[in-house]
Amino acid sequence: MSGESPARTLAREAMLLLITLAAGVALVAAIVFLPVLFGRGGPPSAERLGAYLQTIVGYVGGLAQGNLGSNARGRPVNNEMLQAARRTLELLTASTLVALPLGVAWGGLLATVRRGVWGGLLFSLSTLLISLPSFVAVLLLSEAVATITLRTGVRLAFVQGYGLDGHLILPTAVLATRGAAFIARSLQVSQEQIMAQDWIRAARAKGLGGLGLWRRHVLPALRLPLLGAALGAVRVIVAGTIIVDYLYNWGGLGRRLLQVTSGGVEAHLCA
Amino acid sequence: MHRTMSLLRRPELLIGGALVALMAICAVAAPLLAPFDPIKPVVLFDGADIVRAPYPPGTAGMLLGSDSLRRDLLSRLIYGTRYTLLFCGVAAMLRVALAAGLGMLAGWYAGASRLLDVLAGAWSAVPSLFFALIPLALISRLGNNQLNALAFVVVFSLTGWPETAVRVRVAVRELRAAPFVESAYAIGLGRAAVLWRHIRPNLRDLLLVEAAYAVAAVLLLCAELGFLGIFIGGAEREAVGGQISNDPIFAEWGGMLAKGVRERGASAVLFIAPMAAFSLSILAFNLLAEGLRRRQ
Repeated sequence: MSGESPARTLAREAMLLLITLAAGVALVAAIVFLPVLFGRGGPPSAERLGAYLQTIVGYVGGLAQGNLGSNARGRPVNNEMLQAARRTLELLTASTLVALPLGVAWGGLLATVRRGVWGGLLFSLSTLLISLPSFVAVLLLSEAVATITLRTGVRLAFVQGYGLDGHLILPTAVLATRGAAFIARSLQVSQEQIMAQDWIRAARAKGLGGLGLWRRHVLPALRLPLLGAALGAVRVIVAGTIIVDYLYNWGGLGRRLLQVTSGGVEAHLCA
Repeated sequence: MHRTMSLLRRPELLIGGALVALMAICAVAAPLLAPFDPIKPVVLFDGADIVRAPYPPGTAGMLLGSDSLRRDLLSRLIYGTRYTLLFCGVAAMLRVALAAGLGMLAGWYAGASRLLDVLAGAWSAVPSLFFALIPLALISRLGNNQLNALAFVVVFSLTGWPETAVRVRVAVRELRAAPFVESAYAIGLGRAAVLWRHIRPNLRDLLLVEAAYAVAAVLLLCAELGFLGIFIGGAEREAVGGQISNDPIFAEWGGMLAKGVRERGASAVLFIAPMAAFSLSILAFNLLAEGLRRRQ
């Protein structure tokens, strides 16, 4: 391994990435086209299995040529899928942009205020946010906003619909707080592991402590875990998007996905 | 004494452990704790007329009231602990076993590590809810309860394993350089034997933490699917307002949540009770996992 040229290593990694991407697309297609295998209620048959595999191959082939599939009437769904994808991407971007700084600040606080009332409160809050199912958070937040609007007449945010204005506040808040809680917990775990290292003890023995120790020794070691936490938070946010999109009627890919399950075979498409 | 002090220093372990123990007691002693039969309707009369269901909380000794089929909600919640924990617990154990197997192989053999990279990369790109939703919705329509329950366990165990597998791989790689591994080779043990006899037992603490996190994750998925009307087994067709929908026969939180969402207009408790049960149990397992992790 050590004697390998950088170009060869890069080529190998790029090949692995391509294979991973292809496997991911094949897996998504295999899930989305399951209705072809099951038909309308009956158990899978050998004939349906053939049609299922053919559909997957055809779809993946079409995807490579920029064809996203067709709807029940046989019309291409490129435009509607692209519009839904754009809306989902907007929501994901907004949520990630809020979650990152919030999560880093929260994680820093969690690690510094480890004991006492504040430490307990911050820890409890992050655990609670990670534990609450997305729909519970959505319903609680929507209920709170609706109650405030009814009692005071002040509209803080919209509780339904798509728009890059007040409509964005609630879905972003739900997704971003979950993402931030995930980042905070991941950073806390990483920081606890770093603080237990020998070189931190050595630095302490030499008289370094407090913010100086954190800035010079802990922070540089946290860069890689921070990247991992950020990527993990994006995954948490993406996972929550399906239900949030559906409940807020955002009109993104999440709602389309749920239409596939209620609509049956037709909507092949959401891949 | 030392153990008690150690527990008191870890409130998350204490609270999480107590809540999980409480759920385990509910699951085991459900017939003793539940005030009513969870399946049998309790028909109440107001003179000659039958009282309309769902009954409000506090009616005829029903602390949380009843559902629209006149079954005591609290009893269904208590029995629900049994079925929900059983299904989710088994699925979580299978998930951890799968992840541990793959992670151990990947940490031990370089070729398997590349394969895990590809598999984990592709698998973790698919959100768990997306992965579970379509197959389970389709299998639910077949109307075979046993197949449905089996499908839930299999699908739940196939989601979320990549993160655990990657963590196990890291742990195995760290253990690979340990002196006891070299000693094992020195006495003539083969690679597979070292992995099984010496590496595997040292992963026990990590796998315990992962198992607790896995139960929380499976419960979360079960709750989200229940909210979307997909739940474990025991479904029959029921006409509500002209619509055909699934209705849970036996008490399971996902089914109760699905029914509660549909009938929340009649009584908010129908929706809030299973939602709270899910949230509390997920919180309990997350706290337990965090406590176990910090104890290591």
